[in-house]
Amino acid sequence: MAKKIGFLVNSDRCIGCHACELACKNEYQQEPEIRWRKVYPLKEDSFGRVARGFASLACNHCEDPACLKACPVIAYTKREDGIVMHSKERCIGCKNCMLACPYKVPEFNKKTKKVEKCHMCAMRQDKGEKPACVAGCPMEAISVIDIADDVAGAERSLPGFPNAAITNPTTRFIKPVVGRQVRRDA
Amino acid sequence: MMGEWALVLFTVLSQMAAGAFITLWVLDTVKGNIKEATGTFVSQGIVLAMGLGLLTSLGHLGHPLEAYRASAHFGTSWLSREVIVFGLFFFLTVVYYWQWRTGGARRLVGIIGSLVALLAVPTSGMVYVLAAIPAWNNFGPIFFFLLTAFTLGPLYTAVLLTLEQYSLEKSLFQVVIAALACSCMSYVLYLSVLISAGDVAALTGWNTMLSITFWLRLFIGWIAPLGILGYILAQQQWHSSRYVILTFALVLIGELLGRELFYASAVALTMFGL
Repeated sequence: MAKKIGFLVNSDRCIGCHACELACKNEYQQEPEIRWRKVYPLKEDSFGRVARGFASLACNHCEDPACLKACPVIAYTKREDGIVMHSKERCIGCKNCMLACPYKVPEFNKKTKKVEKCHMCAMRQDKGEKPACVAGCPMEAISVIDIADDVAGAERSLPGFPNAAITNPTTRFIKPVVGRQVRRDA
Repeated sequence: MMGEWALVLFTVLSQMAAGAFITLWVLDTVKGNIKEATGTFVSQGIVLAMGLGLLTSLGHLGHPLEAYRASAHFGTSWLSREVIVFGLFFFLTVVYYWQWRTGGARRLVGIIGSLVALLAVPTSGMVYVLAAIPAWNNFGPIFFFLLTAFTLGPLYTAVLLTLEQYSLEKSLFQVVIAALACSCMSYVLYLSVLISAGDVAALTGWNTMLSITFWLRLFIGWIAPLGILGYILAQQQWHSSRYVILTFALVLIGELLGRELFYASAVALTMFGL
């Protein structure tokens, strides 16, 4: 059986520098308003104690992609390794995938009048290279994993992430470790 | 969400055409007193509404000239199914018109067309029943679209029949009154569900209620037509073309405003509260 891959987003390492977003934009020379990868601030009280945290997300390359099902022109396909590909040639810009995706991943390019999204740098990966965001992250907070592997601390969701049961995303998360507060008696 | 004008026009016009087709077929089958010239005129109007609807739907696409490919994913995409079913319905409206015009047997086309119309409207609704948009992930879109068909459709047929001096029945307006009352109540329910849901949905619900579009929709689309229809029935004025045309115009504007509100209330799931 072919290896199924997904992003591992380590929110404990992420410092919210947006270098991953820029690496992606630089690699594909995207329009200013287009972002295939986005860094989201996590709610500060999500993990018991108040702490700043971030999650860097692109397409979740879902196992049951809603975009693929909703697309009327079969512009979406899923590769054997799990990457959800979008064909710009087939896309007619109906934006139905944008409505269907629970993670707001597909974006409409006003210049090409077509939708576009992250393809996990499939061409780079086919050459044995890392995706641009993975290579560009100074904190090594993003990696590509075999989702069948048991990665220590990896979870299927984070507080505030839409219900993973809808489309079964392949992205895995490592929660930020909230720092222990040292209190001194007066 | 004003950019969705193409979808607003397409959904309202196509649902109006579906309702009008069923009304014409029911009147022709039950009453059987529609002259061929009158039926030709009405069915021509239905072809025009559906054709216009299909044409406006292209305005939503980034690449309208490639719209023909949108039927490719019939297996899983409700949008593909909508394209195919409404395409078939448009074909049947043209055949129905032709049968009226040439005096051919039209009952079979009428019943098939009515069944396809009844299938097409919920298919259109299913495009919006999405897990990603909890406000729509229920029977709501299908119900709203069916109500548009059963309010606007009979009124559109009534207008066309009135223009041809056809004597209308009271029962047609009773159906419209029931559908309008149902539409108003279901929208109140939809708004209450929005307001009682999570933060973003509640804000959307309040924003909708506080918008001028909502109040225009309430008065133009529900209160005024219900008042006029009540007056028509009380005064037995349902043969008067000016009242029928006025009611149709008000309901049409109301439905267009209502559809705009529907698209504006697309409360998607949030990503980390954003």
